Amino acid sequence: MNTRVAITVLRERDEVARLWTNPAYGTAASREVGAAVVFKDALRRFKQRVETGEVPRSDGSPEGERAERKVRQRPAQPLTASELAEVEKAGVS
Amino acid sequence: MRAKVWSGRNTVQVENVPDPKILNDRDAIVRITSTAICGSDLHLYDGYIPTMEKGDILGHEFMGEIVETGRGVENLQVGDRVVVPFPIACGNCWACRHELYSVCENSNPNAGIAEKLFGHPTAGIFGYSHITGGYAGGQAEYARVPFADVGPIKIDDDLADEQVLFLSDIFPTGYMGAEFCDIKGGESIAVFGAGPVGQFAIASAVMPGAEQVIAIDRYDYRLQMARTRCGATDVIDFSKDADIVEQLKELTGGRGPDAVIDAVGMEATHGHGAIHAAERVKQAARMETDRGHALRDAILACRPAGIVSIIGVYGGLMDKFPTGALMNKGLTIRTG
Repeated sequence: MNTRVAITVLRERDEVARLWTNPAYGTAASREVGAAVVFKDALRRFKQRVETGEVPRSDGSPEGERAERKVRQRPAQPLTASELAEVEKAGVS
Repeated sequence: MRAKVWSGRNTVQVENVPDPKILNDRDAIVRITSTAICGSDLHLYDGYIPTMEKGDILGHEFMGEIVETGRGVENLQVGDRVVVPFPIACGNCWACRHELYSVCENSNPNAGIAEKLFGHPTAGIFGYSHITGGYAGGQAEYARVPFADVGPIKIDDDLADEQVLFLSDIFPTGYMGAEFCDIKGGESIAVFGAGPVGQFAIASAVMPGAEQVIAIDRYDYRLQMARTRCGATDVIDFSKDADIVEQLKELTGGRGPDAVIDAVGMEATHGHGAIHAAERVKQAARMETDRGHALRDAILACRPAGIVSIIGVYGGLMDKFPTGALMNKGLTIRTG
């Protein structure tokens, strides 16, 4: 099994290192454990937060990119109020 | 709201679905005033694009009026008229900073799925399967537009919807197809497919000075439009003669066009019924996702060291791709 993953963040190396230790950006990612795909998702969310200020959410993947959603997408149509409440309660990204 | 949803292969229907809501600070909600059906929607309808889910709202060519904005959207106001480009782009990543918006690195929340099939993720796209993010499309009353501070084109004047709607996809797609051909004046350009994107590609090849533009299709009304409205100098109706490569050579003094634009994509039709049937069976049996008649002929017809510009949509894998011709003739392929 491949256990190596990589991602490029459009920031200077020092800034990436600094943000990685910032709980708002990197701490969650560095705590992720499990398969490479899970860690890659965490790296993507780190990159998204650093570069765009948010974790993009779609109708199919309303929590942002998550390994478990890759095999269980919901339809690409808006969430009902109760579905949205459930997603928000479980935590987004 | 009412929306058109995909319900399985060869089935779409209008259904009641929940209204969209702001999910991210850089979102906006658009009340849709006009939307179009893209030729590439047929690939979804026919079931050849992977990762569709029942209930997906289709549509990636739309425009309308902003009715709500997230806290992070400062350049748009409620009431603004906008055309929404089909790729969703963050504006911040390396690709967006290089104006390569269709390969935005951040807008696809299913990047891992795309990476498996394509090697890298591509941008999120409205209403175009889950490999491009699983975003609801615009063939609906309302749509949520992520990164609304980047993509939407504000329409400030009184141009009618019909005059600007095609900025959402088919005009820039056709224009890009011609731009890929490096037209400086005097070239011969062949355009496979005279549907809407092909028509815009023809007009876009004429504008910078191509001397000869050859439209290829099997429908006479399209070929007539290519001649009378878009500036094609020659046409080839392959329903009358299926040997497109030889006809292109005849029209170009035996050399072949300087550049060839494929505006057909993965559901190409071949003029020879038996050849078409064989490929159709392979596609239906999922032995390949892409029927490649147009692209194969484009590669074979293009002059040595010419350019093959691919703007027709392909979804996965094609059988019998002519790598020998591609390499030995020194062709340049540009896609998007």
